[in-house]
Amino acid sequence: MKILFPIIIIAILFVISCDKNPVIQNEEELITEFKYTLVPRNGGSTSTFTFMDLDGEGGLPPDITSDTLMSGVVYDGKLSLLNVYSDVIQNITGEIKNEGDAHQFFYESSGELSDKLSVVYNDADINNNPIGIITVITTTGTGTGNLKITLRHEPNKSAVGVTSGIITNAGGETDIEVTFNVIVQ
Amino acid sequence: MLLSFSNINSQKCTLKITGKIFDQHDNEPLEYATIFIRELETGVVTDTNGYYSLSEICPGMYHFIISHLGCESKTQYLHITTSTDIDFLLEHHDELLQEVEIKGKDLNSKTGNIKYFLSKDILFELNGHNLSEILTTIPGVNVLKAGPNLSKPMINGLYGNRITILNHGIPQEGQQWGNDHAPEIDPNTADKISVYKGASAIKYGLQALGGVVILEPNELISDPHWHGEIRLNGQTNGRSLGINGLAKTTSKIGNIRLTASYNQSGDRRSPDYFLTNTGNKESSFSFFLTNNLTKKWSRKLYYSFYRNKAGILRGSHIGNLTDLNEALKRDTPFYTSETFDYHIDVPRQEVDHHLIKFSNKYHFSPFKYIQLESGFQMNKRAEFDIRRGNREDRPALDLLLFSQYYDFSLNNSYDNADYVNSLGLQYRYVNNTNNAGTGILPLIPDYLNQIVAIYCIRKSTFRGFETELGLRGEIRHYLVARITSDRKIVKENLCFANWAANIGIKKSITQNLTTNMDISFTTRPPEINELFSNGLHQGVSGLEEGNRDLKVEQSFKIVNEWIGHFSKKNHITASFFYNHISNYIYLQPLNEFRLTIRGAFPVFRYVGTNAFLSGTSIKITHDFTPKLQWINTLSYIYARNISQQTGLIRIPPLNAFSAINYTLGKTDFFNELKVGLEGGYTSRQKNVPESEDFLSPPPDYFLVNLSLRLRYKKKNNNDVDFNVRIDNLFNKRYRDYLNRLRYFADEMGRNISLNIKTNF
Repeated sequence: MKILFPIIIIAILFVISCDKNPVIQNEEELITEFKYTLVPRNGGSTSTFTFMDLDGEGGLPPDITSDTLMSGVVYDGKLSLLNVYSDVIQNITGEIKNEGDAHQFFYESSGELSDKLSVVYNDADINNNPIGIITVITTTGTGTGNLKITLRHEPNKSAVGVTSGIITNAGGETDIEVTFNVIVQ
Repeated sequence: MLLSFSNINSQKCTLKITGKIFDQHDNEPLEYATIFIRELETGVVTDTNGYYSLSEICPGMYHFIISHLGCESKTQYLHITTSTDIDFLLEHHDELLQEVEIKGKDLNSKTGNIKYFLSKDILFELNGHNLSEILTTIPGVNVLKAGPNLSKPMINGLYGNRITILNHGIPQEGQQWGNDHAPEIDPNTADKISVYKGASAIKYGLQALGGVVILEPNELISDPHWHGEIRLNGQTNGRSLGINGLAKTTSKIGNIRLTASYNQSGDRRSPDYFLTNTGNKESSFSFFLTNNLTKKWSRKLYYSFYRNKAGILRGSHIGNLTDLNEALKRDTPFYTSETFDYHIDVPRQEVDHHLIKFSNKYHFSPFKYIQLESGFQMNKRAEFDIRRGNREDRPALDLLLFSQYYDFSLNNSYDNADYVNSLGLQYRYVNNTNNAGTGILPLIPDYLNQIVAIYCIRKSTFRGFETELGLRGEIRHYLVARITSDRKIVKENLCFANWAANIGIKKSITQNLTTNMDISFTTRPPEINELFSNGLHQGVSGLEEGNRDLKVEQSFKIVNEWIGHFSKKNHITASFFYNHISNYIYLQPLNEFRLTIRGAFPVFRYVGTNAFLSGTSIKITHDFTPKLQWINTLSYIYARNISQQTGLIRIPPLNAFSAINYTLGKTDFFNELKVGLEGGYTSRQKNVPESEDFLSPPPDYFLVNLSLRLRYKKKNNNDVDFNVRIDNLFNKRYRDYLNRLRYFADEMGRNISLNIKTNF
């Protein structure tokens, strides 16, 4: 029995698998499509900006489509975030809205547009601080430049300038950072 | 247990026990050593020749406790039936870190290399620190860190996949590839911890080309009573508290040894702010059993369990390159809290490790035996990140690893022969699985790894030279099931055939000067992470990509070591090495930044290059008097990426250390008092490839530490030891090149620790 005991233990532990069959994860936090839709308040054509990144962190370059905006128009802007890989196309926007106090979108225009494009928040989280999924854009003059939209997770909304849309003191972690080339005409 | 013989056998109580007490290191007799018989509460002191004499002893079983200033007490349980002569050896001067010579036949000792031991003093003084940090007291051994809780040992510049840790004879199998993956071992499960700095691939596998860290228990001796130690430790920085202990006994089933440990700490503190979310919780348990089935067949069984929950600095977890650049500019990391907390939040790691080992040895004759060592390990690692949508309790990385290890060897020698031959066969199996439910594609794929190896070692003595020759051949097979970027499963089979060869020579030039030389050639096949890593790795703050086309590394290493003792007051250990590695595999940052919806990320890819590492580590000890000792160490490594004509990343800079220790003997208040003042200088690493790092190496720094040790002897002659240590006495603000957190925060400020130990 004394000799048998360790041999039994070894026999139980000595289980060698000969194949591996991994399960492909459902990537719930992956955002494959980012769409910024601008609808002019007084009628006219809708402008859409999209950033499509089908392979996430993989090497394939993202597909960015930009649009033009008419000068002197007030647009209602809305963001939509989707994950097309999930079994049911997942609406990430809803998730961000539910955790609104831990998220904020920042809109920064640069180049010729810095004084020609004004973006104002039009939504609020449970603390009455802006989230930035719904915005109002007003265009003046003409020119081209960049519009950078950043989503920060767990920013410090009480730091100076943050609720006005200034990202400098916001902190937190960047979950989304996309830049569009915009022409105002 | 007190034996009282006075009434029963008073006529026979005329036995006399005499002998000498020697210093185990140099066989010099020890004067003023005490030999005390616990049951009789009587003892004597040795004379100037190390000679003692005990008379009027009754026949019986007694605990002999031998002690001497500066040595660990030794207890021996003996059955006395007649007058007898017994000599005892005490481990003194153990700070010299040299292996005690077992003349040639010990196959577990490498001839061409010094085995550097951690002294029992150090193990006690640093109780409560993790294994890798304690190992840095050996010159030439550094620590690679990812914050205060996650530390990996680095031997002469090599770490991770190039170092093997032997846990009671079994190579530790976990996720060694991660720079932020600490070895899942509690140092308290071992009695002896040592390091070989030369390539040790012949017996321990091709991963040991950088060296081995060995954790082993002492041989268990027969003693039917329970004996052991209890230790308490506490630190002010992190408000950490820990208790651990060891207990040994002999029972019907054999000699048993148990260890148990628990340690908890909260947020650490730099001189100016709390390092928020750097708490740590650790627990471990081990069971060791030895018995002899027959006189020729001895067996050992060892089981250990280790669990760790380690917090990672909240402000070190960044999103993309924009976040990283902002973090690099900050003085204080983002998310720093004003208050202390024990609570461990995300980001954090949770690791469990189980090891069970069986060892069987059958002797045909005293020097001819066969041995089968088998080990089974289970390693579970879950890493938790900052996540959206209430997912923070789901790990972002969830790995389960099973491994089996078998080593069957034939060892042949003869009584008066001056050689030993050993022939061995090894099999190793690793099964790694990513658990479902993370919601993230795995960083490294699922795989099966099987290794079959054959090795032979011949040790012999020839004209005063002790030599060792070793040869190893290994075949490795990987079955990998990886997920491609378009979410398909692709299975791949890879096979590698590799070998290693080694020559070790040792010569005693005079009685006081020994030198050894070790020349080795090792080929190391790439590991799974080097071939198939794919994804965001927070540990490098970027995307990491494996390289399917990596070639086998070829390492040529020469190590030359000297040990000298001069005029009984000076002791020198010096070690020099040169290591050339072709196809040296490392993570190189690419010039591109990858644009994803989360912004831009730096990309790192595993590549091979030609490199060499060379260096020296020296330790000089001078005894001004037997009570006043001065210790100095220096270590320096020069490494080069030959193909790129730059330095290598993550090579430790020059380090110099000096300490003065004063030991006071018995007074009315204590039995022994030892005070120490230490100073350590770490220079700025200038030999770096600037383009391969986010930030230049930090400036040089100088730290001062203080230590005080008190020993009391209880009535039954057991010891109670107290040790107070102040690390970073002046609360200096500094950053260390080998700590990943240097991008975000300063190192720990002043830390006062108290250690208490008693034995029973």
